[in-house]
Amino acid sequence: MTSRIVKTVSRTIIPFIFLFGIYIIIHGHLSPGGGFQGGVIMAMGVILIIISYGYDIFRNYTDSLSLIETLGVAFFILMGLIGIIAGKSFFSSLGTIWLLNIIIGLKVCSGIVLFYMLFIKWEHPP
Amino acid sequence: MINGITIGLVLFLIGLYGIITNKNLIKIIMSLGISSNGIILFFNSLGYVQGGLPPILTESSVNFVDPVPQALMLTMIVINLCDTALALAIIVWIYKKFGTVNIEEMT
Amino acid sequence: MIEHISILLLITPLLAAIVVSIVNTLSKTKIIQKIITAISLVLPFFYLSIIFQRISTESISYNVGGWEEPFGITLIIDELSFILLLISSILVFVTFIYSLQNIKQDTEKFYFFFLLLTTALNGIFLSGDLFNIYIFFDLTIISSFILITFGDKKYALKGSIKYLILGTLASLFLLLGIGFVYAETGVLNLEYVQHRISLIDVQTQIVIFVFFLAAVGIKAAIIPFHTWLVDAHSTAPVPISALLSGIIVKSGVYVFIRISSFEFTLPRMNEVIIMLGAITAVGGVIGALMQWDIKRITANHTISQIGFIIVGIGTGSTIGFAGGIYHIVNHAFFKALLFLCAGALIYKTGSKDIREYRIGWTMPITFIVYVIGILSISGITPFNGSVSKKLIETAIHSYPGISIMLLFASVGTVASFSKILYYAFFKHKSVNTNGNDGKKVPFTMLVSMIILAVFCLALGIIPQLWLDGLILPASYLLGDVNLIQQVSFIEPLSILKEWIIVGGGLVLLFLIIRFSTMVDSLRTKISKIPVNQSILFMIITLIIISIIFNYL
Repeated sequence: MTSRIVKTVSRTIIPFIFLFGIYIIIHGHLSPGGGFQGGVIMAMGVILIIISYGYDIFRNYTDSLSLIETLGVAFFILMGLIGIIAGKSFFSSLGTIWLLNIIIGLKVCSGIVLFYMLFIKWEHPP
Repeated sequence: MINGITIGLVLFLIGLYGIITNKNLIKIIMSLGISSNGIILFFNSLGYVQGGLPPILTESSVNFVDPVPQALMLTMIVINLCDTALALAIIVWIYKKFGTVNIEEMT
Repeated sequence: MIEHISILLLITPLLAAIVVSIVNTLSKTKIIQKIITAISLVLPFFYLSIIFQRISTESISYNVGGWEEPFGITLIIDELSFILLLISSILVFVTFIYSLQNIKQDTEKFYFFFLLLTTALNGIFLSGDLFNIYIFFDLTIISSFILITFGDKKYALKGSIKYLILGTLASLFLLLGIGFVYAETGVLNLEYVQHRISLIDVQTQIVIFVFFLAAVGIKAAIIPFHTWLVDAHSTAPVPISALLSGIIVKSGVYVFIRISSFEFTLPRMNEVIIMLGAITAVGGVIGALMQWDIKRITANHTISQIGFIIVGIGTGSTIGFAGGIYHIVNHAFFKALLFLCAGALIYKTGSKDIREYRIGWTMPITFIVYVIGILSISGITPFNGSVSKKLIETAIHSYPGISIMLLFASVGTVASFSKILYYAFFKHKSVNTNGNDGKKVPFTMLVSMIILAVFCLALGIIPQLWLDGLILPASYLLGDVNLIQQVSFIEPLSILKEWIIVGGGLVLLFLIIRFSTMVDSLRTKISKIPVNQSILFMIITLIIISIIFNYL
């Protein structure tokens, strides 16, 4: 799967995939989209890199990806607790939905890339 | 007569038939996916209002399509994705341990 | 600050799970995870003791995000969910103590999923609207299915994949029911749906009830839907088996209680539910009499005791509800005790077949605690099983056929547990020195079993205290206040009936041992059906129930 044609075409397309994913994440409160959908699109970009350039690029990054994921969930819950501190209920809307969208986008992207890498780890022995 | 509600229920029944009669574990998981897609279609077409607009805040005040089932289905899609990924991981483990993914030879 | 207790009950185990996962990737020790888990499992007791005074006057409801009542997510604590939160916290804490010296491989991942399971259980008991129930339902199934795979790998994978397929199917049926409720009434909040369901026409009510019955039946193991339970509960590691039979199956029964408080106007709905419960009670006992593996016997008895609970709830009277809720509490304690003792026996001898145990008097503490558990499940007077069984039998004394079926279930329970006692404890080893004799049961396992046995005794000796304080206020939520009669618990006639049941059980045991080869061939024939073809029986039962409702 790593022939010259595949590498050239994917090298051209991948920045546009990332740009489209970031656009959908950031405009989540104005048009259809949001954190989860944009995160999946960004993960598709990363998986295209892994398919066309070989598995060895991302081999050592499994630990840091799972660390990003757990820190993402921790920040999400802490943003909810800020609502309690400000006097109203949990997760009340204080004008910070854009921050929640970005956290979820990063978390979903790293999560799906981690799924893919763990599934095909057995096919590529070191 | 042929609207989203009936097609959604027909898809659910097709998926249910697939779960009952298949012997390969991967085909059972795929039939579960077909069933849940049928339920997503059924739910989304419950909120349809004739001649309504997508529920995005604009300046005019006309009929909007009901946004509640769409929000519920977003949550359901995420839960279903997690479920399918875990089931496939266990099937990879079963294949390495037993050498087969046939549900009758495994029991 | 007291209003935020509902959210704190959900957030504490979830944050502890995240901290445990972060510590996992950074270092390789196991002490820190155990300390974090212990702290976050003790905190819910403080939260529950703060709100106990306020529960008796009103129920606490909390709007997440500040959105108003029928449009937002609400979390509700009333007396019924308070009881279940309390026993869930006690059981999770006791099994955590047991698992400190029982789980030897992959322990850091075990505690992460354990805390996630605690979050999901608290979420079901706290939720106040239907879709929230679906979310935590699915989360419970996912986290408990992963925990099942920590057991003996040759068998655990088969049990867990069966559990996953049927559990996901249960969530899909629940969603279909929620969809029809939303289409007809337009709201999803539990209090609002309760009054609006009686306005729908009867055909749609039948469809909604059948879908909810399918979802609850798979989770709570009512008889045509029970085929996943024996394999999943018997191949899991021992503390997870205790949790699964003790509280996760009860979460299905809790959803069933909430759904039966909707005002369905179906004719003779009570009698269909009572019939299903009685068939479940008898079928579970027949399945238990055919097995020789100690964990499979105990898992089959879970099915039959759930049958008792469903009979109690299905009557619709206040005594029936009180008996059902009391039996939920009792069954959680004595079933967890039976599983933990079985784990101690397996730890000492290394095998699961009871014909190979010849322990005699070498494990005295385990023997005493196990006998307390067996007397509780059989319903002998000073222990807690007798109180709830007496309440249920008082509630159904106008249905003589059901009383006879429940009597047969009690006789079978005594028979199969006497079989375990006879083979495991009353036969001595013929050779004195062997490889396994020097192993003592570890200290934390003994402590957790003794705590549960003390609860069993306490719930049985002073039943009036628990009834007036906790259980009767919960059942007044669901039935009428004026219909409670006085039930006395120490009566010579009922004690005589219990000892007649014990005698009948011993006679049945003698017959089973005489015909044991026929029983073995029957068991191998039944276990050849794969799990997805047993879904066909479920669908046929659902179609028959809807035809019965249509033509009544």
